[in-house]
Amino acid sequence: MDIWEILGQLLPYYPWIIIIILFIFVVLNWKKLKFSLCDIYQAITEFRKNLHFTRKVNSAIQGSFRVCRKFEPIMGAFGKIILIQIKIKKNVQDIQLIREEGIVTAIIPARNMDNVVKALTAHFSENLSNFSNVRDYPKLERALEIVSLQLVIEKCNLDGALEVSLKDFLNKMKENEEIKLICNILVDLNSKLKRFETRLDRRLLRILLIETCRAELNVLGKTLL
Amino acid sequence: MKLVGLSLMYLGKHYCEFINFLQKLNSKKTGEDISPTFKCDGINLVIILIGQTETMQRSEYGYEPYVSFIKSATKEGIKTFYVLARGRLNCYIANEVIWHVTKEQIVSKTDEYLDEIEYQGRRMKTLCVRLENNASTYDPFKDYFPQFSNLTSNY
Repeated sequence: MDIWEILGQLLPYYPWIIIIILFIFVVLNWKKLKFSLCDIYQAITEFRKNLHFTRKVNSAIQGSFRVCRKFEPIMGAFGKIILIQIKIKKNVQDIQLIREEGIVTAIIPARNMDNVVKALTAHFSENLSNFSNVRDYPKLERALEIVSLQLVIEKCNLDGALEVSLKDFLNKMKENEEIKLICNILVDLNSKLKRFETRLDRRLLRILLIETCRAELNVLGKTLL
Repeated sequence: MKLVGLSLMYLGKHYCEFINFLQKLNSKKTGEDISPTFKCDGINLVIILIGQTETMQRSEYGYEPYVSFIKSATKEGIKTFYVLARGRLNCYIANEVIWHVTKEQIVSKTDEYLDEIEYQGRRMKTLCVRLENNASTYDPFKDYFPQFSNLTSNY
C-alpha cells in the first residue's frame, strides 16, 4: 500500500487532510506555481478583454453596415452587403478574411483599431467590391470603397478611436489626387441623393457616378479610366 | 455631415438637375413619356430604356425605332448614349440595337454592365451599355500627323 492509496482511504473520513496536503504542495512548489498562476490569470484577463473588444466592435460595425445599407444611397452601388465580424487570434501574422455563409470573419492579430480599419478595408476590396456596379472603373471603385468605409466608420460611434485610425490609415495610403477628387464627388452626390425618398436603380446610379466623375475629371484634363 | 479624412466638394447645380432627371426615369410608370435626353455643362446624354411595347410595335422589327432614334440623336450632337434593358427579351433587343449602331460606326461601345436583380419576385437579367458618339471623338488629323512627323524627321 503506497501513500496515495492510504490518503485515498482516509479522505472520506478526514476531508481537511487534502487541504493540508495541497497547502504543503503549494509551499514546496511556490516558485513554479507562481508563474503558471500568473500566466493563467493573464490569459483569462486577456481573453476577457478581447471578448469585450470584439463584442463591442462587432455590434457597432454590423449595426453601422445595416444603417448605411438603409440610409446611405451611395452604398446601393454594392449589390450585396455582407456583414463582417472580428476575431482576435494571437498566432496569426496578418489579417485573414474567412468567408462563411452570410458573414465574413476577419481574424486580426491584436486588439487594435488600426487592425479593424485594415480588416474593413480588406473586406471592402476583396468581398464587397465584387458586387459593385462600377467594378470596371478601378479609380471609381477604389473611391467608392473609401467613401463607404468612411460612412461605415462614422456610423459606428466608437468613441473616436476608429475614426482616428481611419484618418491615419488614409494619410498613410497617400491615394492619388484623382481618387481623392472622386471621393469628394461621391460624398456630395451621396448627400444630394439623400434628399430623395426612392432609391435609384443600380444602373441609373452607375450612370450618375460615371458621368459625374467623367465630367468633373474632364474639366481638369484627367480621365476616369 | 461630419467627415474624417475627406473634404466635402460642392458640385454644380446642374448635377442636382441630373439627379432629378435620373429620379424621374427611376420612378417612371408604364406609358408615361419622359424625355430621355439630358444636356448641361459637361453632360450630354440620352438614356434609352428598351422595353416600351408601343415602341417595339411601331415597326416589324423590335430594334429599328431605337436605331433610328440613336441615328437622329447623333446628328443633334448627343455625345453619350446609355442603353438599359431588363429581362431576357429586352436584353436581346438591346444587344441587337447595339450591334447595328456599332456596325454602322455611328457610335462605339465603351463599357457594359450586366447584373441580375430580383424584380417582382423574379430573377431578371439587367443590362446597361454605354455608347459614345464617334463624331465626338473623331480626330481627322490623328492618322495623318504621324506620317507628317516622319516626313519632317527625314529632312
